[in-house]
Amino acid sequence: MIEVKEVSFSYNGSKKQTLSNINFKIEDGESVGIIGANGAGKSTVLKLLVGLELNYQGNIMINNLKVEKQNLQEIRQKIGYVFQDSDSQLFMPTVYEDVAFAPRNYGFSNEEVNERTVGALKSIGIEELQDRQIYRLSGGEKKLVSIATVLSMKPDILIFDEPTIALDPKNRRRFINVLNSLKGTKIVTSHDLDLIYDTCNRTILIADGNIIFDGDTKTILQNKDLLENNGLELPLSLQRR
Amino acid sequence: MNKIDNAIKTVHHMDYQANHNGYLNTIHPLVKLLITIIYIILLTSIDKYNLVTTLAMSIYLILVSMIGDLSIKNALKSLKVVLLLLLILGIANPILDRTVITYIGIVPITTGIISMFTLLLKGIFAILASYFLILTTSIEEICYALKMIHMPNILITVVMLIYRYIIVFLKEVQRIWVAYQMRAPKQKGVHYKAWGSLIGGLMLRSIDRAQVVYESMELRGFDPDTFFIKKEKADKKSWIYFCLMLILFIILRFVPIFEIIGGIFI
Ligand SMILES: Nc1ncnc2c1ncn2[C@@H]1O[C@H](COP(=O)(O)OP(=O)(O)OP(=O)(O)O)[C@@H](O)[C@H]1O
Ligand SMILES: [Mg+2]
Repeated sequence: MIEVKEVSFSYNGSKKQTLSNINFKIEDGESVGIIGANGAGKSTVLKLLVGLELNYQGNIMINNLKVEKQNLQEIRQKIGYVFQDSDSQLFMPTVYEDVAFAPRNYGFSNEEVNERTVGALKSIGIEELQDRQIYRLSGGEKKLVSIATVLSMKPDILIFDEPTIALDPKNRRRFINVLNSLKGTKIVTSHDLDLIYDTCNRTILIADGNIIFDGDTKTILQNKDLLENNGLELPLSLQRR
Repeated sequence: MNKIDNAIKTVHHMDYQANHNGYLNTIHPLVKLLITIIYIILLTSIDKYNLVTTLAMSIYLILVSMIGDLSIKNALKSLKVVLLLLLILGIANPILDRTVITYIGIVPITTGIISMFTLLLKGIFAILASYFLILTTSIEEICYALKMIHMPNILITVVMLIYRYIIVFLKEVQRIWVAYQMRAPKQKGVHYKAWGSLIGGLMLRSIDRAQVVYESMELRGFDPDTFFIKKEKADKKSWIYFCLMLILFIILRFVPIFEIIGGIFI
């Protein structure tokens, strides 16, 4: 369970408050979309959840552990975080090595590491990429690989920051299917409201560091005025109707 | 632009090769690291006028290149910038140190010339030895060996990320360069006024990137204290390799082999 209580946050050296008094709770197994215009604070919320920024006010609890320095290792083992930018996520020379990185770190046996690595690659259908060198992959392939790098951790909570940004329609579809087949808690930020519509039951709308709406995805994605006032548009699939 | 691309490829290639299976890749990393360190220490301790012993030390490199199927020629090619620097450093010797010791024909040979050659060769050999180590040992293995000789974690982490950071850096250069070219298409090279802000931006972006890469590692459980220690101990084969190389070094360094061989024929 994720609990965010009265959380405010500003980046070091910036006067502006990036998040002001945010509150929400996510139960195990929920799929939650976080939407909002550029610079609204979506990525910042995610960074706070995994403790990449620790100087926040308020309280953030992951599975009843407060997000603070001494709990980070335990918390991070439960969370898989897929970065907005794959180039930052991938750093080993080959695809296999990168996907195996996390299980190796968590001290699994060689067989277990191999099983998890191959399993993660297979689950998104990219086992043929396993021996490729990372720098020779296309943007979309890198995205899929970076998803595999966290699946190999078998985390309870999966966090995706703009996951479909580099994917073509076919791979975007594939990603949606993968996402829907994964168990566990899922949090997805995106400007792709159709993606949110297809994968999340619940949606949180952030504008200027405040939560404007938190509730049923269908309700908000049909609310044209609310979306447009916050720099977003109705999802295509709803516009046609 | 192609130059940056090539540089990125070279770095990747080095890392890739290091993860591939040649005979030397099967030798335990600690053994290879120790051998390389001992070689460099012995090499640099040779007297600066002792050209013969310095030359003899090249036999190790030839041997390694044969065992490991590595090309000395290619290695020298990829290291040409470093070699050029060495040459610049070495050139001072003949100018400062002009005692004539002998003549070849009418060309005077000074101690300065001898010491220049010795210095150059020592530099080249030391660099080649390190380069061969890197080519046959993956960066993780080198880190693991460094951990075994009790290097501090922070240094090992830097070593481990060095490839990653070089690439991150080169890619930033590439991005900034392309962005600049697109908006200043008529300009040849970079206008002198733009250098300052380009380099400033480059540094900031590289640091930012490096930071995010490190965060991504942390999120996947990277902990320098445990990461570098979990491989198996050196096997018998590796220790035999170690002993043989050590014996070779002692012979090359301390036994005047060329004089002995010469003595047989005279
Ligand atoms: N490292 C940082 N230092 C200072 N300010 C930052 C930093 N990262 C982000 N910000 C600022 O914080 C605000 C929220 O950024 P955030 O990245 O969370 O937005 P976002 O909702 O993810 O936007 P996008 O849709 O563009 O990804 C922005 O105004 C941004 O300029
Ligand atoms: Mg973002």
